[in-house]
Amino acid sequence: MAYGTIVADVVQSSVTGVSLGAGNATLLKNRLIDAGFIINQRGYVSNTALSSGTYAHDRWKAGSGGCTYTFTQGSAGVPIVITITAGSLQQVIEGCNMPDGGTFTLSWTGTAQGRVNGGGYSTSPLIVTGLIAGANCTVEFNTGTLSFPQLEVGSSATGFEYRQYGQELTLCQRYYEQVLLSTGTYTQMVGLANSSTGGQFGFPFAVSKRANPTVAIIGTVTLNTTGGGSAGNMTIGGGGGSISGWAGGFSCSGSLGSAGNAAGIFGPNSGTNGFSVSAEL
Amino acid sequence: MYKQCKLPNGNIANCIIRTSDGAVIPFDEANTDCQAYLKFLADGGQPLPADDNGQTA
Repeated sequence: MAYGTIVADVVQSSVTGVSLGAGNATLLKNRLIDAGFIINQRGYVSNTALSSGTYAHDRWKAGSGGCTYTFTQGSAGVPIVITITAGSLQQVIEGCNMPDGGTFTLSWTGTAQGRVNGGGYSTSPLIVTGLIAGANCTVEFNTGTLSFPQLEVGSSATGFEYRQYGQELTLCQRYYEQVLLSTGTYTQMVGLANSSTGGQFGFPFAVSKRANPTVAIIGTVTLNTTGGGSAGNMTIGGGGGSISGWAGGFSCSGSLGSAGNAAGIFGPNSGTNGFSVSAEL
Repeated sequence: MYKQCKLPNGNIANCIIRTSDGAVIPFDEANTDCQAYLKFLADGGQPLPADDNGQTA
């Protein structure tokens, strides 16, 4: 006696015999952030020499001997191939994103060689054991071509994990964020003068930071006074705030009039202007 | 090089300014820029005194 046909979806992991949600089959399996080199908030220019510890594409910084690499940025969100022509390029994975520890596999495509937490370089895939749960982990590549790097739990290299662009950007912004101002006369932030030459201002971050961040001006930030008169350029003074926002003081090259005046904060007519917020590792 | 900065009441603020780029670095030992500043101090470095130029916090 026939009872009809049962239709069922088959859920498969990327590794035969591994249940979804276990080991390599987990979502967000790649512990590297911006592994496709798709986020470049700092605007790293291809073939620019980086000194030790200087960041380029988000989350990627030069190794102890510096680094130079070339690339052509593709369409938004599309992973690219980079060519490391000098030194090494590394990413420090925050310990809280390595909660499991144990055995991991680093895989990539290209002629560069990789290593994890120092030691000798190897070709892909590289299986490392004994990673400590909760400890920072450094992935590093030497000269050669590099694309699709992935560090995942277990001893198997699986397919590269593609993530949503906005998701990747948000992951990057835990460590670095740019708050860019509109150009021209449109005020994007408002401060308060507490003397003719200085005042206070603040702004929230898009993403809470790993630690209380370092804040700096990108390009030029200009000020105007109540009524629209120019007050010149801003210099950040003391301040701090928290992992979720900045609150601090500023001085200006012109005059804000008197204490109590509002101070419009905006960018000039050209260039990239605003604030950088960094809590990198 | 680094420079101290002042609060409106004249006290030294709980941060330091990196003079090369004007960045304000909080005294948070989890901040790698702060770690670099602490190493600067440990190596015998001394920050410049704060300007009295109307900067406030």
